[in-house]
Amino acid sequence: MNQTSVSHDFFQALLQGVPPGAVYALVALGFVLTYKTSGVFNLAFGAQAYVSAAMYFKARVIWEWPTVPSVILAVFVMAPLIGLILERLIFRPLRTAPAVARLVVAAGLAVAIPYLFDILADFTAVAGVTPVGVVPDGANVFYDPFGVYAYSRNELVSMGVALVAMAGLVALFRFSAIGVRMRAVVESPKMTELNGIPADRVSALSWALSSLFAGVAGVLIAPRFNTLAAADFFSLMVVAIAAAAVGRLTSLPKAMAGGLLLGIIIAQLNTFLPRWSDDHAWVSTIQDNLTPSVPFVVLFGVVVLVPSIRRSRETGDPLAGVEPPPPSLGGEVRDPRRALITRLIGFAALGVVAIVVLARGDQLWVFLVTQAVVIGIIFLSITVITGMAGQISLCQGTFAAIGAFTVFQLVDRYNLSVLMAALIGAAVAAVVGAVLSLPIRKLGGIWTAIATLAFAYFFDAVLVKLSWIGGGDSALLQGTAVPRPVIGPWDLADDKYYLVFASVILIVVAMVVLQLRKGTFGRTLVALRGSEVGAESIGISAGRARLVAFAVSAFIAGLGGALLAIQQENVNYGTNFVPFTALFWVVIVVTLGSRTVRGALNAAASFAVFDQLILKGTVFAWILRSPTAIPDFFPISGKWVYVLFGLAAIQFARHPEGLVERPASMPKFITKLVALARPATPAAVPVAVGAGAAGSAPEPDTTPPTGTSAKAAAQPAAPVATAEPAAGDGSPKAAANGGSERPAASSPARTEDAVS
Amino acid sequence: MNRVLKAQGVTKRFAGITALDEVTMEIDEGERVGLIGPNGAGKTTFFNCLLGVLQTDGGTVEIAGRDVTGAPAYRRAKAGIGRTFQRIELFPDCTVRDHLVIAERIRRGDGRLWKDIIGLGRPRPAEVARCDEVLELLGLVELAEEPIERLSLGQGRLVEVGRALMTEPKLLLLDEPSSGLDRSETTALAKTLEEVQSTQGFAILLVEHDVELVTSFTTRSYVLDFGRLIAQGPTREVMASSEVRDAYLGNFEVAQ
Ligand SMILES: Nc1ncnc2c1ncn2[C@@H]1O[C@H](COP(=O)(O)OP(=O)(O)OP(=O)(O)O)[C@@H](O)[C@H]1O
Ligand SMILES: [Mg+2]
Repeated sequence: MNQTSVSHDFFQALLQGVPPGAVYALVALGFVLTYKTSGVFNLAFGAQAYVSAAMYFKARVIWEWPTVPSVILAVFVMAPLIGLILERLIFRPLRTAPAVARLVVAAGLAVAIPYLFDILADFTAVAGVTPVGVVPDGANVFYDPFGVYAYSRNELVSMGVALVAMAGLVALFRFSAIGVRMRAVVESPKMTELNGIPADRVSALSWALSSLFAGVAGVLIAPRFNTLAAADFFSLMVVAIAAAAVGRLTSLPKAMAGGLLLGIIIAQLNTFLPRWSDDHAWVSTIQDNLTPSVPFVVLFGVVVLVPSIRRSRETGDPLAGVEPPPPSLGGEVRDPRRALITRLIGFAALGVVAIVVLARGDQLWVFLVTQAVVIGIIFLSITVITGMAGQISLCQGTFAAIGAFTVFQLVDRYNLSVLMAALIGAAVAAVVGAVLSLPIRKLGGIWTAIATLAFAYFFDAVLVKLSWIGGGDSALLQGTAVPRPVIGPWDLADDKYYLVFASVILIVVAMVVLQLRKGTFGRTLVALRGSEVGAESIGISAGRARLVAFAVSAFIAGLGGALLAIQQENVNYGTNFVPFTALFWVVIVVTLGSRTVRGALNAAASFAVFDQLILKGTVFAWILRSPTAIPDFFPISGKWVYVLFGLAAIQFARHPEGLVERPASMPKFITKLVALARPATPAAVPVAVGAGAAGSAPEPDTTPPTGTSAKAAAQPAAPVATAEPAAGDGSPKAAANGGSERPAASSPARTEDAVS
Repeated sequence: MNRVLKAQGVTKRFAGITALDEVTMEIDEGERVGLIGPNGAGKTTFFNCLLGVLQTDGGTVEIAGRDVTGAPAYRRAKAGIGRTFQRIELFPDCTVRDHLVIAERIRRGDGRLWKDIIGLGRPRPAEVARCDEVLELLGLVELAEEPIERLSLGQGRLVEVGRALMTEPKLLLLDEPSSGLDRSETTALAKTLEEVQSTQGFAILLVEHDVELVTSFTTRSYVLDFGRLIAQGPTREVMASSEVRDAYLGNFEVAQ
């Protein structure tokens, strides 16, 4: 290869990489804008882009509007409006909630928003109908300014828009009063939190702007997809997060540069990798999958290797030190009355379902209940990692997929016994979980979530396509079939036997999780979740505990994934285990209660049967004892499952213990009923109420978090405490007096007191 | 006499300031040593460096003859450092007794995953009894089942002391244990510590603004100012030295 052709190719790839880079940059800009002004790691950003793209499609193609009004509606009206609504109704009230809680809320929205739009706008993406672009003849007319690479109109417009967006932001920040305030907030996000600035307007404006960017990007990128699918926009957003991460999430120009850089790197790799493989054929499998994985590798790498990114909101923030201790991921607060009621309802429902299923032997219901049981096993893995260890892991679907693929591979290639293969699959997942945890176990908070998300996408983009994991091309042709096993006299090919088998495993796993919670492992994790230094000060190794937690969780997920594949007699990676689906798992589990085994089981039941039972109205057929007695307005769209549970995740920020456990006030008559049912000792009820009140302390505004209330109270007791560096330098004498005339702060530091 | 702590030239810098400047300290078994200094002098930072919560920028730390420089916090805890915190670091979602049970279990190091799975992970009667002994000493028995959210600050500090005692430390670091306690509670705590110390023989390093407590409780003291040791020696002499009074005590009269 000669010199000129290399430089020619390099230059060509450079030019080629700019347009996609510009779109990444646009999304990254919006992402950083909201992250820095409101501290929300907005995972719903992709969903917002999807809504604009879909709205445009609806207006342009289905209503047959001209381009300009379609764009105005989809991009300039809808997009900022959604941003404003999200800001005003959801994230502004959560301003002081912990970052992780807001991340979970955003994850819920990421799931809910696309489906809500689909329902409200009566929109269904038609498979194979490529979305139209906004530019007339955008994909067909080319210009070649440098004689190396011909830009399509679409590409030119992408670049132009990104430039205009950046220039617009610069102008806004320079020349308008609100822009200057915004810049102040971007530089010191703490200011918004401390309300030192007309924070509401700044935050509203930045949400409107960033949502506008999401809308623009959505419309621009749409023609690149075959079909409009929310999951594709979600992964676009993950790519943009990677771009923002390259810019270290610190500043807008850096985010822009990060986007462009990522686009160019991908194009360069695309251009130059094949040359190497001319000589080294073995590179070709890796090279085919490398470029799509670049953003995820970059994202993972930056989050893990660049510690400063994790403090990016604080970097250079003069008010960085002024922070109330973050609340833990929720107290284990259980209102005994509510717990009793939910338990009774749970048992009753379980009984009814069991009777109906086994007596009627209805095939559909056997299938759905088995699904619930198997998903329940997978969800228990979320109980371990999120409920017990306090880590948000977004790659549980990947662990499950590893279990499922291992079964497929071992049975397919080595004819191993299916059950043995399932156990090995779980073990492999556990090993992967343990290894994955090594770099990320110290990250904590939202960074664990981001890193695991990057891993999930890496698996999705690369590993699934390798023949020794996902089956590669042969899997595309022949599927990933998995047989049902035979245990002694029982052939599990019979669905009823399989249901019984899966239920037994579920019970075993649930018991194990319960035991772990009560044992050393569970206590260690509770301690760590409460106070990492406190735990380390008595000899607990946080790293080791998290490693074990990841391994145990991955084992359970892998086992569940294997059982799911065996149930469906196919791995079905695309429907069962993709990152977007796994995101919904986490959302639904934390919504219903990640702390308890029961929460996971409720979530699994909801996940599997809510659609059939409620939305299709089957429950009416049962109540009215007639298979046809389903009211007219059923079936309701199954998409409501995503909308309802996604939106319900919003309450997680205030009640991390989950809907079921939530000690909120409950309808009076139920309370009375329970009181009657249980002749409680007179003292019992007030105590219970007190416990509820103390535990539910995270009322976001004052937020002396449940566990740290003692800390909050510690401040008045030590009047010139560590938080005030100035005190030491300024007046040692005052300090001495402060020491000797220390106020006798013996008033009980009850949470209630601290709140009031 | 065994040396439980040998810290040499411990240095710690934060962005602009040198919080600890070549601090050297040696403590023997069974000693009670004070560490005093004005606010922001670096006392808590020194504790953090001893425990390994913060990485030092220089110097070495030996605990009971073992060099633990660079070791993570949990290793140092296992090597014999117990500690309480100025800003309480208790575990929400745990009862008072839970705190001690966890510490006891970790100390014995026999919490295996498989034991949990087959149901052997719950608190054993012997463990509970041991914890209750310590709770008894600290006067917390009544509160054993209380979640820590319901404790007063002073009670919280006692729980931290109890938790640290369960690790059977060789050196107990106490960071302003008396703040949040009233006078009689402080005296009681001091008495309890003396009692436990006489049976277990560990050394205590006490950071305290309550001059009276330091004077009566410790035999030897170090004085920190702007990260530097400016005086050390028998507590009464140190308290009386003019340099210390200037830097720290002002016109305050040492209680005789
Ligand atoms: N994590 C940190 N980052 C930056 N500076 C810090 C940090 N921790 C402590 N400092 C600074 O180091 C100096 C020493 O603080 P330290 O908390 O050790 O003082 P102290 O002697 O314990 O004071 P007090 O009596 O108020 O508890 C102070 O100037 C403080 O601001
Ligand atoms: Mg201090």
